[in-house]
Amino acid sequence: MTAVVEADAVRSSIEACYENGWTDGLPVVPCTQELLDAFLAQTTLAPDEIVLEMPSLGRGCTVRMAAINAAMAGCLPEYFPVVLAAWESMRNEGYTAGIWQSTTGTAPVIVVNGSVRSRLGINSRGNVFGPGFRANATIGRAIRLTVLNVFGIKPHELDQSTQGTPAKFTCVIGENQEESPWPAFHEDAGFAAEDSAATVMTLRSAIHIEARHTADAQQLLADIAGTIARTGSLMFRTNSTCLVLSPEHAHLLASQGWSKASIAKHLYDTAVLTQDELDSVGKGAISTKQHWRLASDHADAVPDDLIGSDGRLHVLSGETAVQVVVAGSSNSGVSMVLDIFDLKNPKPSTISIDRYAAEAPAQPVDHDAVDASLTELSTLLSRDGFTASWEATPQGELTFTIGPGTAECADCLVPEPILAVMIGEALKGTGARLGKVLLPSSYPDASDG
Amino acid sequence: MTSSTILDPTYGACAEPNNKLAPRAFPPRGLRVGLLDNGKANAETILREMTRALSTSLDVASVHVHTKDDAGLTLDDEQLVEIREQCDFVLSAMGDCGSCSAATVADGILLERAGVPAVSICTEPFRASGDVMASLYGFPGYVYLTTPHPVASLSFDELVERVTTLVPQIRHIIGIAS
Repeated sequence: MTAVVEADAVRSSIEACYENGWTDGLPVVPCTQELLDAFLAQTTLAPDEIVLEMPSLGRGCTVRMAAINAAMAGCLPEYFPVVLAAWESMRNEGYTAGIWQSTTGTAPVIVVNGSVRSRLGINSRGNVFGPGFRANATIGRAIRLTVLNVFGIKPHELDQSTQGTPAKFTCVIGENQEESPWPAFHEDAGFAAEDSAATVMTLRSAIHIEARHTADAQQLLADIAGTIARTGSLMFRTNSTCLVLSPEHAHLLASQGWSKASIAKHLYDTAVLTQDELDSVGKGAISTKQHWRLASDHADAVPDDLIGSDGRLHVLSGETAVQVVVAGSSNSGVSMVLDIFDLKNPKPSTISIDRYAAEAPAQPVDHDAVDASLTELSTLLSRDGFTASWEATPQGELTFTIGPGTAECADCLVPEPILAVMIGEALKGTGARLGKVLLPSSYPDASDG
Repeated sequence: MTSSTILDPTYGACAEPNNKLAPRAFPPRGLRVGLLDNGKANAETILREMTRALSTSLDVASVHVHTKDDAGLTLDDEQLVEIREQCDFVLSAMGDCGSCSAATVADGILLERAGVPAVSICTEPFRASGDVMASLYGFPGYVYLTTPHPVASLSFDELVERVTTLVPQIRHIIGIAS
């Protein structure tokens, strides 16, 4: 009966969030102060620090606001440093301007590297763009809920996406570093393989490459270049791309001598459109000021001097406009081309996740080892009539509680500071550390503690 | 069961209400017209054609074109000061996309508050975006001009024809009767 009453209360609190207009259409987790505090405890940032400011809207999002929305998205508190690193990457990428409101209807794609993937369960293998993984599903959703709720950029209002993309709900992928033949994506930005890092790029669309038919690297690259060079994706002069290769495709290329850099150069060289092809779709020229693609006979058109004397346009802005990430399952010749919209910098911004994390546990908590390490101390206390119990948080912070005792042998007991040192010593190697000791009033010197 | 408060995830209220428009007091002759061009295709052309159409009945002495670097952002303080010193009224275009419609409406409000009468011009689908932006700026109901979408792909002749239909509304918003 109790369970039924609580279920009704849960549902009504979820409905209250709907009534307030606080959702992306899916149910959210109502956030309480207690839940917010758990998120804020995960980071060294102060609650009032700004994670992203949008001057045109006169609004800035604080760590506190980002945390409430992350909680509502269904994140666990320990995901929060990833969310914060993503915000910094977006700040660097130019998300302070109007991209959230754009008719193009883009979504941030967040690429995660390093040990954080296994620690938080961020999927990098099969169904990497799909559902089934809490961290992938909720970290991206935390960003979108913040945009809706904090910046008030809502569909049919300030968000004027003509159609949008499903990626606007969430788009977080881990790189499958373990099955990649090359150094990891974040290693190219100077991180070590196990360092945890997040990189945001601006996704317009994700286009599937079916290439199960070939074992020839040149054929595969030609298939990919043809997809990148489609006329439909050209809005401005040139494009960028993030190639998300399946492990099978990555190994096919690597085994024939291709590195990520040589792939990028080859795709730049071969993703080409001719003047005739551009003219046939009315994109053979550019507008005077913002360089939107236009037909050559448009009133605002000027010739595009990027089209060479050979009448060819390199669709990619350069070799650096190609990012290569390995993700997905090692089970087929399927890859993805992400159309990337460059906002600000020629290269994406890769941000350390560890930098945002409050002192992270060096190792996962081994609860059996914690119990074993404290048994001796517990036995000692019981001789003096005290009971001892303890509990460790997932982050390894242990609360040691001493129950009321008779304290018949007050002199036998160690003072609280020494007890704390003893507990700390005992916990070494268990992944837990002492947070606090709770003492009963009958414990000697308890009033001092 | 214990109960606890559900936290509000929003930024909070819009800006304080401020419906102040610039005074409409123009010199009878020698008007100085500002054109705020956000760089979108056809934006400068339609602004110049509007000015040409107004000139048939108003004594326009000078035209000052200001081009924005980023159509999705509001004009910066420096531009605002310069325009205030320079212009008797401003025409601003073209709010024909998500961020630039909001920014075009916000620019109009900022200019009015700085004392410069302004006509912000958006295409019709973006009225929703423009209206929300006006509310965000504390000016719900701010009056701006809309015209059918699209403008960017119109030919020059089509632009001239479009301008003819808009001139009475421009004069109405600026507050100069024909």
